[in-house]
Amino acid sequence: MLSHIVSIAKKDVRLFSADRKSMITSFMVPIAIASFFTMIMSSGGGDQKPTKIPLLVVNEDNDSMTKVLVDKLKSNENLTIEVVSRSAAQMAVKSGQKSVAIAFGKGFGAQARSALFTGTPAKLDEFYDPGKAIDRQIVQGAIMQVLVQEISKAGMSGDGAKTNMEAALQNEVDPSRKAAWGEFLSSWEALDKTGAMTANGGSGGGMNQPFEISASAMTASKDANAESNATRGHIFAGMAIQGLLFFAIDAAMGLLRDRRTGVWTRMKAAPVSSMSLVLGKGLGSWFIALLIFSFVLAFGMLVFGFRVYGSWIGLALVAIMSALMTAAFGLFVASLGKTEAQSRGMSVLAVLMMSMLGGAWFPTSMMPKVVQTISAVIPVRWSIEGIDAMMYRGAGLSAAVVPIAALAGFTALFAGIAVLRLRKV
Amino acid sequence: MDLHSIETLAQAVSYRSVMVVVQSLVKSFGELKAVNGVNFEVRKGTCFGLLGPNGAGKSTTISMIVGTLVPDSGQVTIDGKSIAGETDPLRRKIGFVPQELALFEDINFVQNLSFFASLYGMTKSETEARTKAVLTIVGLSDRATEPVKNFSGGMKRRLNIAIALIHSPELLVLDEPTVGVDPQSRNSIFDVLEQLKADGMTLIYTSHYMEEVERMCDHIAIIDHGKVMMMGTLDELLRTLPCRFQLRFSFADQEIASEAEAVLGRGKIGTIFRTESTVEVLPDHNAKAIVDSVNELQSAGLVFDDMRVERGTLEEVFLKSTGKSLRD
Repeated sequence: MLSHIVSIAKKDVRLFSADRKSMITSFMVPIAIASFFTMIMSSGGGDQKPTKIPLLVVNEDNDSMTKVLVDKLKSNENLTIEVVSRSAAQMAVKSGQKSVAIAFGKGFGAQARSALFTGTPAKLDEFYDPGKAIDRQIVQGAIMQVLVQEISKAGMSGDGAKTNMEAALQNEVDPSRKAAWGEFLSSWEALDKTGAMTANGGSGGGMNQPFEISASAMTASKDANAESNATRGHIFAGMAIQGLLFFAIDAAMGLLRDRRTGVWTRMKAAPVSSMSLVLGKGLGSWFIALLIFSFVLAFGMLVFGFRVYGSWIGLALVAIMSALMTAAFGLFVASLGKTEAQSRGMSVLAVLMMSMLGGAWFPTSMMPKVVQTISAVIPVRWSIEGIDAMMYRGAGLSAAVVPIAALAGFTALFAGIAVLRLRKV
Repeated sequence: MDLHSIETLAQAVSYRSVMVVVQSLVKSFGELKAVNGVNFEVRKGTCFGLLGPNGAGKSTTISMIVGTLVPDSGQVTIDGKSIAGETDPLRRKIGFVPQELALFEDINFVQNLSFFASLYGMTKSETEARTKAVLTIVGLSDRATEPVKNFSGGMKRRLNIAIALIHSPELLVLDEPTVGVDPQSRNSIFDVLEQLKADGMTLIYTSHYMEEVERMCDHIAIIDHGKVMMMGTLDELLRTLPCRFQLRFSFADQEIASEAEAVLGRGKIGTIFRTESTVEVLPDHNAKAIVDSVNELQSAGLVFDDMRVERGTLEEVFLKSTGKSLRD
């Protein structure tokens, strides 16, 4: 039985290498897609600067704090600021020339400061292109950081802060809250007199800036390129798995072609069990898938510089199981369809869905909760989790156990269905 | 030796000389009864032909003989034994040539043969020796290491046969092996098959080309709608025709031919067919058929350009037994 399985696998590897164009495509497509995504989704590291999002800013407020806000936004490394009129901003976003604009209306600064203690929050107008939601998210993140820092600093220090607290005390009707405001104001005045707690290092008393963001990429590597290398590794892992699934579709089409051309019937006429035929096909596909996977990751490491910081054995086992899962998936696809035309469209759709839901394109954490739940039954997710853990997270062999077990389960499921169905044809 | 012993011995001799026995074979696909109670025997060293139109049940019957399809009922024995399961060594006795080109085009001839040899458990030395022999049989020794995709259609057909011969089977089952082949390649395939038959191999040959079956087969079964309609040697089948010849008249145009068809039909000479400006007469009896036909045409004032008398064929046997043409 083993010799039959090996013969069939060897034949498939020989056929794969005989069709040079197809072979090169199998290796190069995941590399090309991964390289493309790597270049657009991760900063280059080293001297390369991240791409800036253009942001139109409208300032109709004469307040000094609002002017500081605009200046601070101008110095933000993620944004390119252009100050324009409200109508120009609305027109530019509506026409698609710009993706986001914000407008500080008249009285924004004063209202924002007093709103820390009393009254309604100041309104910041935002105009955005719904087709560029990612730009909007980046802009919102950047402006929230600047606004919270500057407004809290201005609102909690100096005479303005005292005036705002007095107003809050006056407006409060609840006796216990009124008493609390009174104590808070007394304490603040005492601090202000000592000048011990200065705002942002300056003089004049008041309170300090409540927080500063100190970002650290949680990777095993501590070098300057750790974050971008992690992103690159993740992208290459995702695209490699997607490439394997597309190769699996090719393998499935090969089996369906064998059925159409009578090769399968001829093989079944020989004294060989259906199990051997299916396992032989699976072994050949597994070997080729493993080659593709290894080649794609090696290319990424060599050209884009990401490294394995965790267990090499764990990575090898996850790769072996991922290749096995994709080989079984190919057999599964072949067992479901009767013709190549019938199966190709559906299986391409299935691969794209699995890649997307499994986190090959974007991290699953960016997806809605329900999709994250669904992704647990998508094998691609376990491949990527295992590879990420072994590569940039620097995890040990034990972290590979769950992904390997999940992949083994999917392999058994796909292969089981394939064997049951293919032995009848 | 008493009479009973002689009968038993005769049966045993007969049993040993039979390669394939097909008994009451039935196979349905849903509502369609593709094979409906087929029976026949194939003697060792002979060529047995299954003749029938597309969809008659030939390929389904063949699939059950080679063991790739399990019958709903009935049985097939090869050299006295039924195929028991997928890995039964009995399968080594059978070489199967599917209707399609069941080979790998991206690898060469030798690699194709080696792969299929491995499925039959042949050793490397056995495979090498047998590959050489098979290459010689099919006349492709000089193209052994060339990718199959470079071969002509006829050469691929010969490779299709060669693959079935790699493990030295005793029975070669060919399912329409000459589909889409040019006349020259067809002749070369027939040469190969005739040589195999001369060497003692048993052949089962399916086709809807009556000329091929007439040339190749010792015994013929005419099959239609999953049933054997007639069976026998070529001579036995032709003897079932009321007349061993047919008349073919050619006319100047279709209009005259159409009139002639009507006139001859009224004359009750036999079954009449018209194809454009040609009219064929399958006489109901030998006597006077030629004279009667000519008289009828002359009486009607219809002049024919040419008249030929041709030997009866399996086409007419098929027509007589099924009421339709083989190529319908």
